[in-house]
Amino acid sequence: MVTARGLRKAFGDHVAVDGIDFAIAGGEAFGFLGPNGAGKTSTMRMIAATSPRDGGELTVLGMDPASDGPAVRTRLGIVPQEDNLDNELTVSENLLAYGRFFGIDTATLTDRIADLLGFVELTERRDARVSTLSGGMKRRLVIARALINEPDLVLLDEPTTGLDPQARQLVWDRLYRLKQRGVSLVLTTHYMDEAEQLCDRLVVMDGGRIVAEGPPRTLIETYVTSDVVELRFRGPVPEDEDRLGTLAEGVEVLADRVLVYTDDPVATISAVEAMDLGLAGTLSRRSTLEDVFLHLAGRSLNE
Amino acid sequence: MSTALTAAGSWRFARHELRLWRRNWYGSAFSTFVAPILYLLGIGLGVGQLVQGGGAAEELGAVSYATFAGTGVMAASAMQTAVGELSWPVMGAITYTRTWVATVATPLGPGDVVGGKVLLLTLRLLATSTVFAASLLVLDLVDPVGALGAIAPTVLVGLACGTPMFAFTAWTTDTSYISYVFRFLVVPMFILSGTFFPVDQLPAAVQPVAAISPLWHGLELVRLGALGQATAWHPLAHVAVLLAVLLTGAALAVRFLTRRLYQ
Repeated sequence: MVTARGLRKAFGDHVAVDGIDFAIAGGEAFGFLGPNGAGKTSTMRMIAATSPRDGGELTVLGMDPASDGPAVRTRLGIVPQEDNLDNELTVSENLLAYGRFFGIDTATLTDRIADLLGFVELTERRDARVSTLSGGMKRRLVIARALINEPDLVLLDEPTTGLDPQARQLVWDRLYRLKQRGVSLVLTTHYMDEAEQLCDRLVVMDGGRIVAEGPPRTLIETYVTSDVVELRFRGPVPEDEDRLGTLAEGVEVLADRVLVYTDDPVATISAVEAMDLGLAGTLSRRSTLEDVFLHLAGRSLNE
Repeated sequence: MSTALTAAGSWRFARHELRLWRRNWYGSAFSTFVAPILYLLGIGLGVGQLVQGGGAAEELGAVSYATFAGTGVMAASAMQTAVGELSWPVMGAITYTRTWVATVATPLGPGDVVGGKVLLLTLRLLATSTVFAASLLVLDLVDPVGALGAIAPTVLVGLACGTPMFAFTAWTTDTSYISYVFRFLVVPMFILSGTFFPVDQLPAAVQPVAAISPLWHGLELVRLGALGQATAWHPLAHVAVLLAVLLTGAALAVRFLTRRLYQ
């Protein structure tokens, strides 16, 4: 569906995307994971044929976005990071207006709008003005809008950022169903759980480069241990991480806690407790992509 | 990026804009229909009584002041409509509502947005200038041929003032600059281009400056069409200036809008 070689994007002196290679196959859900400023959105906009590349090769649906922009965009569905619905129009009018930009006739659109509003559970709000919708409803409407042209590939830029947990779950559920229908999804996220839930394969980006690539579980297995023990302290975090380092394969000291990577959390916890470090508490959990990122970039995604 | 302005794409976007306008045309009805007619009544007929007792004046090309100012306000209000429509709403669609960001993610591109917006503006100018020409006719300030003859030049001057404003708005990221354009360009043009008095009443040193104002060229053509008055330059020269400004403005608008929306 999409192949990139040496893809590059610069804004003045700032290199946003620094020569990346990737390939996205049909029917898969592919993720770009990374902190703000990693180059995810710039990459998405180049794929979407709404941002010219400054170097490298890029093929989207067999076409070059630089020369075939309208033809590429005809077959894409776009869910941008910021909602850009027309607040003065109703829910269904937004879909109608957007569908007409694709040159789809009104009769076809009327059928599709009914289906899509059902799919995103907005049928009852079809005549409501967009300005009266909640954040979660707007997001679902943007997703419905992205599907109005029955796209071959849907690009979602941080689809659940800013939503409450319940609204996130509903969006994830709809995206999961899309995936099951065989729609190819490309999404960016800085939520680890989102990437793990939705993506078949992902790349981790940092500073405009790809630092790791693979299925979520493989990345976790490759870069971190199966489990993590989080230590919190009554006082400040102790500075003698060397001593902790003897306990496990890896130790990550954060501002408020210490992460101990281990394949045997039970043994690690009892060993830590025997050291009398002034612990406020310990938490044992499975490793996540957050830990992969910490390992790769040496810093928290939330910094 | 392919940014070409296509006829099909422009038409598609113009139809969208037309639907939006039909929904809330009454919002702009006062400024586009009522305000110019208040000007016409207040200045044309009110102030007009002070000039030759409302009769024909030699300095005005042997027409009454009401006729002179009426045709002036017709062209000037086309300018106001055009620069109004292609400034704040354009800024809004790029920056605040970001609806154009959504539009150019479809097969339509920035060129089609410019083409569609200019097409719809043409339609709006046709509508407002027709209403205005009919008002002049009803007030017996022009004859039927003059009323018809005033419409095309009015639309042209509106477009020639509008597309440069479109280009400027697409170029600037600072909204206060748009206010400056209104304050330091649009308002002086409105007052000094011959709307309310012939430019030859201005000090001789200032008169040539009028030639850089699209409104002045437009007013020459409007008064030719409406009143049969002789123009300062050959009429085709005025048309050529306005077309050049219009097309340059439109080309720059496509270029700057593309840069803004497809960075």
